[in-house]
Amino acid sequence: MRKILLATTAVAAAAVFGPAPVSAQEAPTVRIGGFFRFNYAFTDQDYQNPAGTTGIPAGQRVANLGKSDFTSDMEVHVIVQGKAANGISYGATIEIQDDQNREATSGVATKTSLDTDEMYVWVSSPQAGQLRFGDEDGVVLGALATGFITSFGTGGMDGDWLDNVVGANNRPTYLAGGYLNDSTKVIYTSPQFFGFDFGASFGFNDGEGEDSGCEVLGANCDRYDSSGPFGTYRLRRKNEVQAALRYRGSFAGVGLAAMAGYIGSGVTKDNRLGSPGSGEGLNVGVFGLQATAYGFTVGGNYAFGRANGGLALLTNTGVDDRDLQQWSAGATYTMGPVTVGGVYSYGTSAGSEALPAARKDKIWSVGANYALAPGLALVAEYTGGSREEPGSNLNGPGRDKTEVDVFILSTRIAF
Amino acid sequence: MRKLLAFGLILTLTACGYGREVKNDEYFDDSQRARVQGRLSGSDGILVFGTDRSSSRQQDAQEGALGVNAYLWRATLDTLSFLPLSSADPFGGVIITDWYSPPATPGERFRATAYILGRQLRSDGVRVSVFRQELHNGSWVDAPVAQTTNTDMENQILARARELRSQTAAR
Repeated sequence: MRKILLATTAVAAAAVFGPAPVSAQEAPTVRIGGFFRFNYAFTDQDYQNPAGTTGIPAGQRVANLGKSDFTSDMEVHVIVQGKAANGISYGATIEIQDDQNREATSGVATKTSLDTDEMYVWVSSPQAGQLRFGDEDGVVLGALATGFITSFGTGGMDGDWLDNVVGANNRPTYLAGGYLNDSTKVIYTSPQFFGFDFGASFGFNDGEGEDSGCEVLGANCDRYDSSGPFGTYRLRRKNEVQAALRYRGSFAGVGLAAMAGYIGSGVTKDNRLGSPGSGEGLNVGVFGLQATAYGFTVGGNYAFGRANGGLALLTNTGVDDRDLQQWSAGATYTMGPVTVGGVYSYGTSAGSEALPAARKDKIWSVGANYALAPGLALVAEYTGGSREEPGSNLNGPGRDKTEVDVFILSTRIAF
Repeated sequence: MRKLLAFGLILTLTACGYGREVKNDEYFDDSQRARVQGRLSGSDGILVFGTDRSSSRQQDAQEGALGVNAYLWRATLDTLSFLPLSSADPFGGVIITDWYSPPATPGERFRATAYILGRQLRSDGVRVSVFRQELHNGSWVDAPVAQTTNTDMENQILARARELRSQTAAR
């Protein structure tokens, strides 16, 4: 009772006499953060000769793959932050990473090349919210993303597993936070009102990085807008808009977060003579729900709408232009330094629009982390996945399904 | 019209000050670094320029509702909790207890006054005065207190404050 009275006295006194929060000006600070990981990966995957490869008998392999490999990866973040005398906070984040995955251009892009991941400047007011300018995910799969369970293993379905897989045909697609690329954009996020905050983002073109000009007006030229009558048509996203509403609250000790979002875009135009028509922009709804209590986190996410698998653009030139549908659900449990978790993802999409059947992508993952020290963890993770589309010959003639299993042992460090 | 109403609602909420600033760590971060729990450096990155205010900010947060050091305040309340409380001023840092007569010695009673002298957790940051009375012929008469009693109480409070501080640091 005495404690209650005491507490009441203190709280009442604080409420009546306490000064309003005052935030002092803060000179800017610059911090360097970093990440390094070392993985052992055991990869068991399908890899057959692609359909139509000349000189290769049906069912025979083009090449054989080993299963084990060591890999490393790193990130360096530069984090700038300060606060002006008028209460406005500001800062910038520049993330440098080793990101030339899978030697995408053979013999050209090495796997040790550095590039920038996200880089942006931000300004935040307690009353008006935050503005970010730069290369960033938008609000739906970025700032306000909710329901993706990736906080175990190397990230579960969104972890390191796909970096070990040879051949695009053998990689299932999925949707997760950060999945849409960091095209340069402007992002607004609001303050939180009664548990709700919301945001919107906009980018003119599907391109990130420094320049808007190009040496050649090619597929990767940011300001490519449409083909001429005799040109080549390149399907790209334009005028990407994202909007999201998020709620976070606590009920009887259970933390709840929910998000509803929309991703929309236009596309480049096909003005060629005899054109079958331009592709179709994104028109996708994303919903996420997450609950946390007693060390457990359970979450799910559902996305549907006009897009192909992995939010690729539909060309609308074939016989199948069905909607994308993708859901994932997972859970983690943290007990002291140990976190265990699992996630499952399933999606259907048009896939090859020339084929009438749907493409199906499945991913399942379980993993565990042990925090040896703050910022130093040991990780074990198994992830499996499959991709299937009748008539696709994904895994060689007559084989329309590919499967992959990846087991990873990892140590990772962050500062 | 609906957009206008929604915008108006936002403006109203903002004007009324209902909004809470959402900090950067409340936004989703898809970097691999964000997936590692904790930081080897103890803070979010290694400071290469500027002044680290994270510890003082933390302390300010803890002491936002108090005018004195939070650890000393809580430790004093804990230590004197065997005495009935008469008044507690968290801004002036004064705790005054009521008289208390131990069951084993019904002929004497004690009360204490504690002063917390500042925001810093220092060994000279708390001062305790214990008063003692004895029952003679049905009336309470002031009696001397052993000289070490006040110091012992202060040491007890400082030890408890140190304990609370180390518990917080371990989190």
